[in-house]
Amino acid sequence: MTLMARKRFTSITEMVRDVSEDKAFADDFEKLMEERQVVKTLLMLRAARGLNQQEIAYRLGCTQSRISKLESSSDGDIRLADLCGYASALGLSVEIVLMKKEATIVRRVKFHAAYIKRLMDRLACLAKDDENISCGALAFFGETAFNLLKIVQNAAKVVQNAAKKTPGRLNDRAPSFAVEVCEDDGKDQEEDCETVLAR
Amino acid sequence: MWEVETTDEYDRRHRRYQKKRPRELKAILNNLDTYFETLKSGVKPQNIFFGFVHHEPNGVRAIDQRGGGGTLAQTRLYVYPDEEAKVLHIITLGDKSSQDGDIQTCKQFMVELRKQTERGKEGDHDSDG
Repeated sequence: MTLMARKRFTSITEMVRDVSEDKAFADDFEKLMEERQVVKTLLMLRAARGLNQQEIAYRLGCTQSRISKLESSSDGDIRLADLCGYASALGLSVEIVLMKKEATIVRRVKFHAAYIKRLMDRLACLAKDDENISCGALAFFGETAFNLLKIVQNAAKVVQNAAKKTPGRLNDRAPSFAVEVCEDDGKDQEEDCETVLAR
Repeated sequence: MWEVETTDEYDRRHRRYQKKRPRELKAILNNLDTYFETLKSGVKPQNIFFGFVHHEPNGVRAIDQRGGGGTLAQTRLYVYPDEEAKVLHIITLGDKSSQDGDIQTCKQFMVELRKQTERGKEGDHDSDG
C-alpha cells in the first residue's frame, strides 16, 4: 500500500470528483447528497451534543430502532412530527424557511438581514420600559454591529486577496463594506421567502 | 481544519465499485460526508456514534451503506481519523467477502502511518537540535 503524500481534499465532493474520473457519477452523488441534508443536520447536531441513539430514544419515549430508522431515512421520508420531536429531544425548535429555488446568495443574505432586523426591533421594544434590559440590549447591539462588520470585512478580504492575483480587476470599482438593512429589503424578501415557526 | 486523504488502494477500489456497485458506493460516500462534516464541526472521533459507523481496532472506523435503501449489498469503507494531524485517511473499501483482507490492510496501514509519524517527529527533533 502506498502511504506517500497524496493530494488532500477539504470536502468529500471534491474527493469524489478527483478519484472518480467520471463526471456523471460525481453529479449523481451530489444529487443524492441533497436528498439527505436534513437527516445529516440532525445527526451532526446529535453528535455535537454527545448523545447516542439510545439517549435520544429515551428522551422521545420510543425505541432505539425507531431512531435508527429515522436516521437512515431520506429527507422526503421524514414526517414533520418526527422532525419536531427529534429537534425537541436535542433541545431545539424547528424553524422552516421556504425560499424560491432560484434565490441567489445575495437574496438569501438580505432575507437573513431582514430577519435580524425584525428580531432587533422586538428586542428594542422589550427594552423600552426596563432599565436592565436596556443596558443588556445596548451592549448586545454593539457586539452584533462589531461581529456583523467583521463577517463582511472577512468576506471582502477574500475577494480582495483574489483580486490581487489578477491586477486591474477592481480598478474601476471602489470596494464598499457598507451594511444597510432598510425597510425595502424586508418587504422585498417577503415576496421570496416565508418563515414558519414550528414549536 | 480537517482534510481527507485517500490511499492508492482506495482509489482503485473506488473505480471498481463505481462500475460494479455504484448505488452502494454513493450511499457509503454520503455517510462518509456526514462523518467528515461532523469531524469538521469540532466533534471528537471518539464521541461520534452513528448507526453506520462501526468501531474497529486501532482507532479505525468502518462506514457502511445504511440509508441508501434496503436492497444494497453490505459494503464497508475503512477510515482512520487522525486527530493530531486533522486528517481523515480513507484506507480501503470492500464487502463481506473481502472483510478479513480489508482488516489486515487496515492493520498494515496503521503500522505504516505510525512509522511515518515517528519519522516526522524525529525529523522535527533533529531540526530543533
